Amino acid sequence: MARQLCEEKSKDMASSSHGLFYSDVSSNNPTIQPHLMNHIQGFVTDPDMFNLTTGMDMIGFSKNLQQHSESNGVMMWKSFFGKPGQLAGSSSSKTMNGSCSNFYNQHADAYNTNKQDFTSGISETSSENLVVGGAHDSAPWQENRLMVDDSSLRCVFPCEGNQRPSQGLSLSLSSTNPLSIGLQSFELRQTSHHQHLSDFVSREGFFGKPVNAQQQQQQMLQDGYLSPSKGANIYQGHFLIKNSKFLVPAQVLLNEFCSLGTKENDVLPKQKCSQKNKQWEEGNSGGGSSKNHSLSSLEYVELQKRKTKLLAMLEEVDRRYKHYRNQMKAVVSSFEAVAGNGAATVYSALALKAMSRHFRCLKDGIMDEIEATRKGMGEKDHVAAVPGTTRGETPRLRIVDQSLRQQRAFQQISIMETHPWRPQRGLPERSVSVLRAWLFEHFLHPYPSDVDKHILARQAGLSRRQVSNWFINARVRLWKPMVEEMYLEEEKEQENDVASSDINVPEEDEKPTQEAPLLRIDSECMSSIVNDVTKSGKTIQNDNQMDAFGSVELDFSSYTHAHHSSGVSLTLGLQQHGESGVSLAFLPAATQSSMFYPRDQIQECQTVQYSLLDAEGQNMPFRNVMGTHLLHDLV
Amino acid sequence: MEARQIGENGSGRKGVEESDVEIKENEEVLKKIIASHPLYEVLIQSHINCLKVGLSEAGEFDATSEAWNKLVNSKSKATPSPNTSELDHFMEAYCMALSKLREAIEEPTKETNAFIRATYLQLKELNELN
Repeated sequence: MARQLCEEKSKDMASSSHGLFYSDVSSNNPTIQPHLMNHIQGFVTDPDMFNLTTGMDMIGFSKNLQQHSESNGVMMWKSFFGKPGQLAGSSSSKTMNGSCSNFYNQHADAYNTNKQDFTSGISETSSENLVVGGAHDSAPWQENRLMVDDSSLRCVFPCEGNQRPSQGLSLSLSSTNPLSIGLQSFELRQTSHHQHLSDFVSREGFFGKPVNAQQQQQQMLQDGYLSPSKGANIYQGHFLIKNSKFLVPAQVLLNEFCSLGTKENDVLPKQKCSQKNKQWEEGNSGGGSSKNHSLSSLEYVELQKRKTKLLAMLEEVDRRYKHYRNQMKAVVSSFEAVAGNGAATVYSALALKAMSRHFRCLKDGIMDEIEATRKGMGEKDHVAAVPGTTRGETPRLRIVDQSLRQQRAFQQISIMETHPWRPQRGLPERSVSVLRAWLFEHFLHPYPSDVDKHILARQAGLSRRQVSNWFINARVRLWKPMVEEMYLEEEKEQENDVASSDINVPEEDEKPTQEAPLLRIDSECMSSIVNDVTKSGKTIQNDNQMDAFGSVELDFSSYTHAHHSSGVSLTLGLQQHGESGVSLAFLPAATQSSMFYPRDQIQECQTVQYSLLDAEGQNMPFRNVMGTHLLHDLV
Repeated sequence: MEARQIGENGSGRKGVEESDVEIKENEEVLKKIIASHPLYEVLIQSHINCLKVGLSEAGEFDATSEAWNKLVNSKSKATPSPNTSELDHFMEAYCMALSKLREAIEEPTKETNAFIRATYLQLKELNELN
């Protein structure tokens, strides 16, 4: 019955071949790419790697098989795989754990008195370990391939006729079946005192879902893990680690006893990595990969070959790293199916970290080599050779120029992506400040003439039309609201009949004291000076402010009332105080551009004093403005 | 027997805080029971072996091995009571699981290390050729 089951299973395996990997490494196969051949030849340094006896030892056969001669190869295979119950070789794994078996023998004597046969192995006989694909006349045997199936091992031996199959042993871990990767089913041989461990250890993964005893027995018989004599004594219950109440305390205990910090472990691999990189750099500097002289066609071809080899190696490294990660994921998932979520991460994290460091160093080294090869070939900045820009067709300078152009284009594209185009609203701030300064300077008559517009346009860097439009808008948005506000305040003051008492009328012949041959009347600089109010209520002004020629004081002290707080008008730059007036002084600034007038012209122009005390003869809105010096337009 | 009594005592419905305290007490008692088991040393050794797979240098485990030796020397080997068969099964199974985990982690790690060494050799050969 078991024999039939084995044969049926082997036929299914031959037809579907799930989880089986066959890689023909013989040189007769022309389909294998040459760089892959190089990898395979380079990776296998041990000549006994593909030896049959080595492979047999790995699976579990003893070394006494070597006494068979090569001519009796087929007989040897028949003697091993002819009958399922036949003893062919002893199992190679007998102890539970090689590293801890001695310790167990020393420190668990009391426990061993009751349970002396606490040993583990795959099985007594190797024929129980292996499920062989039928007899020698079955389909896999006719195809000269012998399939050996174990839950942890997927092996395919190519075997030609009577020859000893010494080539092309391919061992790989199947990632398609994550629960069975690298995990062998194991059993404890029982005595009268000790129940069988396979009662609570299933063969799916480490321990799988619970099945009843008959199904488990039949499955293990079918797979060759149990002999029929042992199968009858299977323990009826099923023990699962995951459901045990001892699991969490045991894990906590283990972590308390030994939890590794990774900071110390980071030092050595980094040092190794840096040493290896230094070695490679020395090799690159000493080697012929970075040659400055012009390359011949043969050298170029060699470098091209080297580059393709390195790129293939890089791909292989990436592939192996992914493969390793998949293997570790499979191992972790299969263990976590037994011991709960997160149980294996403690163990796998260290291995993953170490291996990822190794892979990173290796990848960096290969990348350095590729970079050196590219430099030797004349490629720069990883710019791939576009058709029409290869070395034979265009000179080196043209390639460099094209690469620079590409870089500029990429930079422009990145700038456009980060800062998308949007229309600019309004004029530049510097231009607006020039125009605004002129507006406040000519506050009583903010209508620039054509000459003013021309000068302002040159100063602000705008066209005359832009200047005209700005003044049209500014008079509506800035100047008119201010005038209306002042007029309203004046009317309120008139209603209250509050007469201003302090009138500061400066002398008529006040002249500038500056000695420079040229004086600047700066149309850009406007500073607002708030008068300090003393306890007596009198306004104190700095003398040096009045010394400057062309300073205009507008004292609106009579228009202030109680509800005005000391706010700042952002559009005008005026500070409004509840108690004191606002004075605007247009001081010359040495740093900004301005209009220059000769001193004698300024002296010829007399300051015109508008006396606004006589309110009857003048119909003006600013009747109560006191002490106002206005500079006549000099244009 | 003790473990069963602990489980029965902890299953009573009380306040949330009281139940949390009881669970913690249960865990502490279970820890003591596990630590007094003769297979506890084997469990720790299996745990350490699993951790060792990820470490490249053997000298990085000096502190742990010292602690291990101290524990082995100072440990009083108490014979387990005949009623703790569940704990026996658990300890055996968990030791086996950890040993299998070590083998499962070790296998791809060894393969990958061999691959990395071979790739380094290939790089060296490439440098020597050119």
